[in-house]
Amino acid sequence: MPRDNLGEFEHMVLLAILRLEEESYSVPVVRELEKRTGREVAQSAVFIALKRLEKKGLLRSRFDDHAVKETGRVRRYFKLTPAGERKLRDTRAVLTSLWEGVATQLDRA
Amino acid sequence: MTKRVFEQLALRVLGKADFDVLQSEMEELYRERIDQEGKEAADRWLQRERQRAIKELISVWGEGLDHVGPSPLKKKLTKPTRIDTMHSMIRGVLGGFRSLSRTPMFALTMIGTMALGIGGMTAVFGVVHGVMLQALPYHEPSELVRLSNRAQGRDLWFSAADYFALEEQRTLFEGVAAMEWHRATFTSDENTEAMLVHSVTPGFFPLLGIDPVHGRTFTEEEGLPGTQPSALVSWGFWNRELGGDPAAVGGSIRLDGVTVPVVGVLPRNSGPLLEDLEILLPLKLEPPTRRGPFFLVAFGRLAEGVGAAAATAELEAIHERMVTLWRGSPDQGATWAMTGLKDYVLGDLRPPLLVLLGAALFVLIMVCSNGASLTLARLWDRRQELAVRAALGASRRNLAGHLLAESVIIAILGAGAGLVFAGFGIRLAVTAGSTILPRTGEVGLSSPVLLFFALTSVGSLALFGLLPALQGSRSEIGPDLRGGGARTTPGAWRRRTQNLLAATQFAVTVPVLIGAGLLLVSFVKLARVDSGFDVDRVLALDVAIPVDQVASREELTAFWKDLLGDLKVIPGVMEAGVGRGRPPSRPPVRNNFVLEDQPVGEGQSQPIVPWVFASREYMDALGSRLLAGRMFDPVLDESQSVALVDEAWALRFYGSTSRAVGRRFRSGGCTNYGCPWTTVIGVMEELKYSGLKASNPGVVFLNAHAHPSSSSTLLIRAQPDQDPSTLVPTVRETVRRANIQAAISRVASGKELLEGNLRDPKYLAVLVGSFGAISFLLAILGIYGVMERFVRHHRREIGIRQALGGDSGRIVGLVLRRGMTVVILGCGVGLGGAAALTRFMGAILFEVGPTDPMVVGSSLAAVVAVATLACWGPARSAAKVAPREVLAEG
Repeated sequence: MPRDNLGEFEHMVLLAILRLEEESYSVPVVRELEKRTGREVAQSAVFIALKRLEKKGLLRSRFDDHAVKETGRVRRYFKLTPAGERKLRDTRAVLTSLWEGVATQLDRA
Repeated sequence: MTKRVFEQLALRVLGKADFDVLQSEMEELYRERIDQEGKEAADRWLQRERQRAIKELISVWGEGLDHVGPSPLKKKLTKPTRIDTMHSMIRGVLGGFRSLSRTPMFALTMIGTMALGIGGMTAVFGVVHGVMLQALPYHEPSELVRLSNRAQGRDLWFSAADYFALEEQRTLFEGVAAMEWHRATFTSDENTEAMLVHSVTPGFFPLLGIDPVHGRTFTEEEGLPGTQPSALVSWGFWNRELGGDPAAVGGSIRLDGVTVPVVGVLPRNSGPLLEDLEILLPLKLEPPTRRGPFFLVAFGRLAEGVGAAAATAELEAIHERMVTLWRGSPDQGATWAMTGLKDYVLGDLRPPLLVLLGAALFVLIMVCSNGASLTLARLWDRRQELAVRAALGASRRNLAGHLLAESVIIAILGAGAGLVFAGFGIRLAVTAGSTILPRTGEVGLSSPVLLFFALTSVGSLALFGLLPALQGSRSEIGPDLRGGGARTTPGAWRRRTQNLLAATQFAVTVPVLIGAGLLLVSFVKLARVDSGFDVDRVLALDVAIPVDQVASREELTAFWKDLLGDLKVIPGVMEAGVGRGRPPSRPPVRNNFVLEDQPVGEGQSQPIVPWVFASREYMDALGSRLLAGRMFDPVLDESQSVALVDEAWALRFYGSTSRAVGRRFRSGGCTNYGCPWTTVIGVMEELKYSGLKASNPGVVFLNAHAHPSSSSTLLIRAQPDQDPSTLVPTVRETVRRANIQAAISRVASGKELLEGNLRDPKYLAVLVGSFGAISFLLAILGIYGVMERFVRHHRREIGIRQALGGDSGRIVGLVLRRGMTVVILGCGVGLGGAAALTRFMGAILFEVGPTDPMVVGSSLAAVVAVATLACWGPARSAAKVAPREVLAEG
């Protein structure tokens, strides 16, 4: 298991990127998270988390020059790197194995 | 505000490119919100969003994660120009003012206490410097010494025989001089007044290096007996009586009825030896026929390179030869000794001055630690502001600079106010202390005092300002930031520092309080001493008539007797007496003597006691009763050699009052000359003449009518219920009627006679007492502040304890225990400090030891009691913490 565990919020941000497929920027991620969690999510927190994940090598980003020309908006698009995908897989494996057998107990209770 | 902080912070943390992205994407969300929820809700969201962003960004900054490349701003800052530095300094000062003005109570408290500490310290140093440290205003003052006969631990005056022997035989002294003073009447066009007249040997002026401002000093010839009289006058006298006219030199003044030419005017500051001087005459010493009497203050200047040991050896050798020459000394144990002139001038003031200096220093330390504590506490309350400043790009240096700027502003304002305070303090000390302290004319804000003031100010700044500045800029503030203000308790380091500062304040207060307590008890005991006379009904005044107006002793005696008769018939006057010597501490002379039945053996000292001249009415006026024997007989005793003694004398030499009556003694110096025996005819109640403080060695009273003087003290006893001070005008008038040229001076009530003895202790007790009160107050405020902050910062913890069922008594106990641990530790250290401070005090205390358990105990008890009360408040408020509220806040 890799040394660097994903924080809960980082985990969620990575999954959101995965769900949004291909490339995405902070605004759709915020929307996705707010929809899934039912809570208000700070956009800056998302933005900083994206930057942090990029620094960890789990995401890759580019400026969207096209969008600047068309809409006048500056955006930074992020996509998963192979390391990011691997990380998500590993995390899922760990969590699944941890959940095995306890799920039923939890449901009963 | 939020927007600006957000923008600057984001720019700093993310860099320009990502900042633009964040801005743009945030705006996108904002537009969406407007569409969905309306402008108002969207604005609220944006505000919220920015606040959250600030929190996020601060925490990123705290982690030290540099997500982006260096900010473009950084490059610009790498090389500050001089203008940049100036600019940032001005900005720092302005910023300091701004943030201080937001907390005016803090600023005022700090400035006020600094002013108190620095001002008090400077004022006391100013006095100590002027009176004790500063070189005497004479030529090469360190070579100057005072010479004396030292016997039984006392320095006694020289006689003419002593002075001549010294003058002739000295080899290690470059020069010697002698001085004597007496009261004489000065007659001007308007009136006659009694004046202190000094007589000095002509060598006095070259010895000290004093040059007259007009005219000349005395010639050697003028110092010979039988030569024409001449006088030098003081600057003050010249201006007051002679109109400050240079032509007055060459004119003359009338002194004791004799016309005396004025030959010169002395400079305004002639130094402490001539401080209260008006008129100087040449001392015309007759060749001695016996060893005594002793009436000269002798001075000498050591020859260059001569050490104290060699000079003392020479003095002892000359004394030895002289004793052989004059066949015996009055005191076998006596010898000649010398004292540095400065120590002679200072007298026994060194210990009280040192105590005062120590007390002021303690108060200054107090103020500094109080200041440091307040600044630290403020720092904690401002941690978020500092965090933002740091996050906005303030470097550690910037932050320290900002904090230091505030401290510097406080120090400058505090020091400025302190200087004003010091100026007033010095003036007050000089005015109140002019009768106690020598050299008050030299006390002021001189350059050494100003230098001391500057050093004190800088030192205080270092003590109270630097520590918090360093602390506030420490990188340990980083962790504080990450919580973004969620953290509620200060770090252990800071808490320890604050506890230490509070403890220091108690360590400082305890010695000052104990010192003040000792002085107070000492003063009260002194004020309660029975002086032996009826304080409430006595009035004393000096009367002098010009010497030329009385031809004989008999005439003089008749004058006084007539005057006493006239005074007695004034309504309200019960008794009037004449004499020389005022109780409780001013005998005209002290004399050594030998008792007929208790001869003094070889190598032993003769007793020395106050020698007072008194008429029988003088005794009645004092209210002193006869215990044994009889009083002076109005007729018989003016031709016989008889004396009264007081109870202390009788008990000291004969063990009882009755056994002393009829005993005979010879006064000192007369042993070998066939002097008549003096018989003790009666014993009076004890009367003090050696001061209230000293033990009474016994007093001898000679009949004033048998030994009359043209200058004497009148004692009036008022009728019961008559305020003696109301009698003064009638008494003056009666005296003037008896002799139109009589000079009246030194009018004093019985209380004022005692005042002279109580003034020094009172002055000191009040001064040290006020220092004690100030530091006590500061210490109490200090511990209260620490405990109040402790409770405020631990509200959550206390709330949880309460929620878990801790009862409020236990919580009060917990807080009290915390506070009192600090207090008691401080007091413990303070006891050590007290031992150091009171060590100097033995000499100035009366009937109370420096470690008096009552004083030490009650001071400590008072400190602990008040400190407990001060901790009680915060403890109560801790007990009232409502768990639900506090936990909800988190």
